[in-house]
Amino acid sequence: MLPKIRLGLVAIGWLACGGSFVLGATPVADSFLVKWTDRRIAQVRPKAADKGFENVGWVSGLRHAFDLGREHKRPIFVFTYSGHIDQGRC
Amino acid sequence: MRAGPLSDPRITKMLNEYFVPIYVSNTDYTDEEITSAEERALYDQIFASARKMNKPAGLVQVYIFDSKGNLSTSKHVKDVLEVENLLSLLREQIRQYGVQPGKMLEAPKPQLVRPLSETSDLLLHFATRVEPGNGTWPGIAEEFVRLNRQDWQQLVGPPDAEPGNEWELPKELAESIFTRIYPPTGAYDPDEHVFHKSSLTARVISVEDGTRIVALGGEMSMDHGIRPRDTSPSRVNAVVTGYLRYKNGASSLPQIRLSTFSATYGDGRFDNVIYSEDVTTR
Repeated sequence: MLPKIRLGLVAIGWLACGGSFVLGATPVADSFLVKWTDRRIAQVRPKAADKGFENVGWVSGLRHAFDLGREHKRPIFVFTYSGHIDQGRC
Repeated sequence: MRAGPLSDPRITKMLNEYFVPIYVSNTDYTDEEITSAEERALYDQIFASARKMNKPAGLVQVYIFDSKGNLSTSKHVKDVLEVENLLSLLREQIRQYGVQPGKMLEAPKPQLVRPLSETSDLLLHFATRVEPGNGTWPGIAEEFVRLNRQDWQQLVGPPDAEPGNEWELPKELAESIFTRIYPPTGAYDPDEHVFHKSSLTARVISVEDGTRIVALGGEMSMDHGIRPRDTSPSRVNAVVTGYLRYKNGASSLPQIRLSTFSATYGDGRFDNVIYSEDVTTR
């Protein structure tokens, strides 16, 4: 989450400066816009800590998984779900 | 599961060294256009085996088969959502079958695959982060959206645009972007929504040496469910802002960067950012 204080300062600036601060539908002053947006993206975009799930060597295809199980004498772990786990939407 | 036990290092290590790990999307495995008949038959067999053995046979579940393909156990997801519960289940299975640790069978790789695109397409990466609550899942959701040349040229504006020039983007284009701005919920389909408001405006901030910076800002309001086909979906409200950078007449694509200034889903907050992928990393 964006630190509340920083968001608060931008919002106060936005309100305080009225029309001169807000042009079009952009709630951040032009002079801050690039820096503000870049900082937000750095904060929110996926980090290594979000990718623990990708440290598993997931196998693709049930036939392949069962063949590997037989070949390597290993149990097969199957997780069934609805949606798109690769996107984090499931 | 993704942000919880399946990201825990003790579990990922155990899955890699003792098991053949696979995840199976019911969405894909019930679609004849995506999944082969053989794969669908194996998928059906998972549930048939569980029913035959009077074990739980739900759609969102962990199934463990022995190395010969016989079902050993099945657990509803709610019973293995806690890391410790899944760890004990895995340990129990390892003991039962006397499995010895071995090398990883497949190399780990990024699971979210970038869609193939034309060189003139702009690939936008969406990332949404939310604190759990209000029916949302913890963790991050990410996906790609392609804008073709005709779409991104509308964002860039006319070649002779000057500082101060402002234009409203078509509603369809705004909605094609806004439609991905929602937190991770059980309703994973981005098309399952109703827009109440969607506006996106572009305004040239500066033009220097042929490179323009365009401010982008907009507002959206749409209903999106907590679960598929939700009859009383929650409301997503967001103010979005950011910029694009583009060199006039260049063969390269514009760089687009957007972020929610404020975003709520029901009573809870979430954050979403959108950024174009660097063309050189494709």
